[in-house]
Amino acid sequence: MSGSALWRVLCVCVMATLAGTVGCAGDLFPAPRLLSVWGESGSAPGELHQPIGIAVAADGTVFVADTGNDRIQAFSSEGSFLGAFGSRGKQPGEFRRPMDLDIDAQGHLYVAEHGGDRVQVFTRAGELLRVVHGEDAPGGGFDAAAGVVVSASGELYVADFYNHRVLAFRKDGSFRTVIGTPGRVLPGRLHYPTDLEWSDGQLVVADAYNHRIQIFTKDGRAVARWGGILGFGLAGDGPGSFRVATGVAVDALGRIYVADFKNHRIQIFTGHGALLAIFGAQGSGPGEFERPTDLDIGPDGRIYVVDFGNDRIQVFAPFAGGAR
Amino acid sequence: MRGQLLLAVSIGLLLHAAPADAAFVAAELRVNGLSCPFCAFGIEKKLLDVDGVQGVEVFLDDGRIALRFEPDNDATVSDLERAVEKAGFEIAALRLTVRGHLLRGEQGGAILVASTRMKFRLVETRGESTEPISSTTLKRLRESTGQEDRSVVVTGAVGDRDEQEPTLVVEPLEAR
Repeated sequence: MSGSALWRVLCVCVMATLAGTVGCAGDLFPAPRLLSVWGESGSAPGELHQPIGIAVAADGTVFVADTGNDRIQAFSSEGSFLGAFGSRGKQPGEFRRPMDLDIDAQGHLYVAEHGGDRVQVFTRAGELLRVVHGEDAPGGGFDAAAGVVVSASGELYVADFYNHRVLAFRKDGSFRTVIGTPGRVLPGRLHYPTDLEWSDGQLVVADAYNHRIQIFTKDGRAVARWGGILGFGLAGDGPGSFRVATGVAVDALGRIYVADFKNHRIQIFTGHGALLAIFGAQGSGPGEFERPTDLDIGPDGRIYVVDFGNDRIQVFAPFAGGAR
Repeated sequence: MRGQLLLAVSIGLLLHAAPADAAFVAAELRVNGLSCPFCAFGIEKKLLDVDGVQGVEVFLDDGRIALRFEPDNDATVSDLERAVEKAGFEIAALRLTVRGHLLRGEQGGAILVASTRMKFRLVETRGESTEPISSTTLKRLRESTGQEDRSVVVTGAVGDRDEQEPTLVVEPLEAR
């Protein structure tokens, strides 16, 4: 790292630390090593068209929300095509823009659907188990379900994109609470949230167009935020800043990985928001990204990134940097 | 009062004159700042909610959105504007293909009645200026549509969208 780059990192960290929004990891750790790249543009089995979301199962199977093709595809951890289900439509089991997915402790897949305003739950083989519309939530449900996560206890959380909020549901699917309110700058305000993760009993929200990550308790209290100066939600391209933070993942050590969409890179933080590493740049070469949307961490720590604009998945070695 | 009554009756007659197959056929919208798939698929979602819209295709690279309409739809320009605004964007440009019924305009030119809720003042570009559509162009439009009644298919950019009666800048037939 050059002297000027290091100076920028230190400045950001000092300002953020003073504001009590993030800690500081000091110098950055080396980027994870690229392991493989897979996927080609198209609609044939195994091909991808505008993929957005990704989830890796406990056995390493990789599920991709192949959004432009309105289907879910499954791959081995090495990228071999295993199967697909779903097609365009409004009927149960069909999709209108599946955006994100998560896998619960039973191995069931939860698919958030932007155009369908619902979350559909499937077996790994694609058999539909149930549909959550959220109609008992205030306002009568979702307006574009963009992101989804299931807690260890089976509670469902959905990023409700156009309503600028997260909706929480009990294990039986009944509505529990609203997390976040529409707005900018202030803690707890959300502006087009797109992805969710669960970490240490707290909810991690990709507050996409506030250009920040926010942490909430399960009851909706905003406890931390970062991204740009003071976590106020200003877009930027410096270390620790985001230009539309669309995707988030958490590894076994509690480190938080963020898909920094318009900066064409991934940033890794401690669970408290101290920056650990940055990797990627705009392009279509190996290790480069064209607007990454989401990522997930495999059971062995591998990092799977959805390279949206290149219609491919890139896999990186487990991150060897600092922990929480 | 009498003038207003006459105007209301005239407008009523105009709208009543819409042929059964008058409707939007296709549209191409442009919005600025569209680069994220969440927004692109959001615009798609909001436009698909508009009555009469059959299909939407969003081109992320250039912010272009292509629409297809169901036959006999009753969509309006305002419907499309509202849908795009709900998605957090504004229409920068709108090009429509409309099947409608031609009427003589009050100040020359022609009015295209596109549905019971929508009509356009037809204009064309001559040199640097935009003028009411000429009788020659109207004749060619009718001939190109091949209809013996007054129904025509017109493609053009929509201008003066804030007006109750927007303009449709008719594209030269050879440009289609």
